[in-house]
Amino acid sequence: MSDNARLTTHKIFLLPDYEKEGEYLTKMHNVGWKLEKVCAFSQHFVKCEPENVIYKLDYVANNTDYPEYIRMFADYGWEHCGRVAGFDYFRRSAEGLSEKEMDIFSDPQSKLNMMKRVIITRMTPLLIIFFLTILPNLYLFAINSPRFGTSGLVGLLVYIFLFIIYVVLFVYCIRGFRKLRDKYKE
Amino acid sequence: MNERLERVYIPMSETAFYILFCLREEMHGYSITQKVKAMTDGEVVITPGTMYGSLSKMEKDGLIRFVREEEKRKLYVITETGEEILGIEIARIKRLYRNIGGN
Repeated sequence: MSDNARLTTHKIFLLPDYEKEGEYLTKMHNVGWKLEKVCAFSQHFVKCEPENVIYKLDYVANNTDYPEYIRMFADYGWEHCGRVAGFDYFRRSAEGLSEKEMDIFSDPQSKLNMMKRVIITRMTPLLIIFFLTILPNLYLFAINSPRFGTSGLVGLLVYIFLFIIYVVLFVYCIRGFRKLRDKYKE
Repeated sequence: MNERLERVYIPMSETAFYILFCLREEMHGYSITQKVKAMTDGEVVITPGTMYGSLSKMEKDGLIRFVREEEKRKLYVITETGEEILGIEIARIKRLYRNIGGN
């Protein structure tokens, strides 16, 4: 176990998985892997002493006063440790904290508000791409592909593939967000 | 003019109430949390995600305004509109209190 042993994992966390991602990073730190860098589909850790450190993700759309935002979290003891696709990652030691202080949100309404920000600014663009490019292109290729031979067929298959991916992702996200909403409304 | 604000803010969440109440003096996010903790014997804890979201929303709604910045901390103070809304909420709570036998 060298001092700077490193580990990279490739877990995929989609839009409604931000709580699960925080829990995963928390678990890793608890067994001695401290987050060094986080990317869209990979997490990079460096070996550390196992410690009860909590990780939380926040999402603020159109943050116009970013340094002040980071400063506020720092005042409370939360260290900023990453940013991916508008999600900000924070961590802090859980030692001697009350249960409330272990969360970045102290009421269910602000959790719901964060979820709404994610849906409006992240989910809506995906829907627009789907309806303005994928669906029309799929339709055009479907009616025209016989005239274009092989390339038409390839295009059709590409758009069928994209269509399926999108539908699967949408279903996954909608179910995830509903689960979160039910949890916050309990 | 404040119908929308009344609908949104009254009755007020404990978080919103204490933030507005504290901002009758110029303060920044963390100092509000500290003060509220002291005022409520540690019962009411406002954490940063909630604080940041609440301050942004209240500023947008015109209940509070940004005064100045000190070492990257934004200080806010209540506006006239904010005072009005807070006054309505305080009257509501006093009425509640009277009706349950307080003075």
